[in-house]
Amino acid sequence: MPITQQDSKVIFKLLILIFILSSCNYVPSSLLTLQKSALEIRNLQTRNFDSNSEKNILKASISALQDMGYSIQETESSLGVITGSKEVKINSFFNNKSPFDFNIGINKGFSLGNSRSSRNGVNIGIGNSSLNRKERYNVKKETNVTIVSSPTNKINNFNLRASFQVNTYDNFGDISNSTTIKDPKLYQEFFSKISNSVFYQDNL
Amino acid sequence: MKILITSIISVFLFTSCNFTTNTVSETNKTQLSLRAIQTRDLEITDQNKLLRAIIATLQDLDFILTRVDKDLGVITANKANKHSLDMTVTASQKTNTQSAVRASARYKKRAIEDMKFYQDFFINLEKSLFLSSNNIS
Repeated sequence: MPITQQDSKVIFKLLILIFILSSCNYVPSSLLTLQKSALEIRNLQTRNFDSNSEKNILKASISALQDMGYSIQETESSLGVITGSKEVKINSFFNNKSPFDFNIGINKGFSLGNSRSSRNGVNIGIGNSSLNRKERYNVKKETNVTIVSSPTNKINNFNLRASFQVNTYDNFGDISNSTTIKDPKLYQEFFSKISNSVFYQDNL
Repeated sequence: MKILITSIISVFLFTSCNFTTNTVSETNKTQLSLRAIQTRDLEITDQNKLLRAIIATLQDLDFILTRVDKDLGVITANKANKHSLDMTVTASQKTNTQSAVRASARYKKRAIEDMKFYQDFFINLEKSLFLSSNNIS
C-alpha cells in the first residue's frame, strides 16, 4: 500500500506523540533551582531565641507541635532536627468531585444533577459526584513540618527555623498539590507559642 | 503500512522507559561514573556543621526531612513536585581537611543520573555553607 502525503503527516505526528509519551526519564530542570525569594523565605521561617540550652528549644518546639495536633515523626537532637505531620480528611460530599454519586446507564439518556459524568448517561445525583472510579478527587491534606535549631556565635543564643508544607492527596494516593506555607502570620503565631514554652522550660 | 508499524515499534523501543530490566543492582551508568556525579569533596571537617548545612539546603529547596542520623551522617528528604522526589545525602570525613558528600535522588521512582541535577544541589550546598560560616541566616 503506497503511503500518501497525508499518511506521512499522520506517521510524523504519531512518532512525535509516542516520543513525548514514552520519554519518561525527563527530570524538570527547575527541581533543584533555588528560588530568588529563598533567602526571604528563610528569614520568614527563622526566629532567634535566647535559651539555657538547645534541648530546651527543641522540647518547647515539640510541645508547640503537640498543642497543634501534630505527631512527631523524627527527632535528632544532636543536629537540632524535629519533623512532624498532621493529616486532615477532606469532606468531599458536597465537593464537585465527591465519590458518592450514582451514575446509572451508559449511552444516551437524560441527566439529573450536574455531574461531569452525566454526559455519559442517566445521572441521579446526590450532591454532584459519581461512582466513576477513574475520576480523581482530593481526599486528604497532610501538613508536614521540619524544625531545625542551630546555635549562633553568641552564647546561649539559637536560631530556630520551621518550614510547613501542605500536600493534598487524591483518591489514587497521588499528590495532587504541594505548597510550602509562606504566610508570615502562621510563623509568627507558631514562634510566639514556642517563645512562651522556652521561657517555661528555662525556668523549670 | 509496514513502515508505519515498524517506525512506531522502533521509536517505542528506543524511548520506552520500561525497556531495561530492573534488577536490584542495575544502573544505566556505570557505578563509578554515577558515584563521581553524585559526590563532591568539600573543604570542611566539622561534620555537625556540614550536616546542618545540608539540612538548611534541603529546607531552602522545599524538602521535608524524613530521616536524620548524625552518627552515620545520613539525611533523607522528600519533595512533592507533581511527582515525589526522594533524596538521600550522606556526609563523611575524607581527609584531615576534606569531607565527602554524596547525594542520590529518585524521581518518579527512578534514579536520577542527570549531572546537572546534582550540580545544582552542590551549588546550593556550597552557598549554604558560605552563609553558615559567615553567620548569615
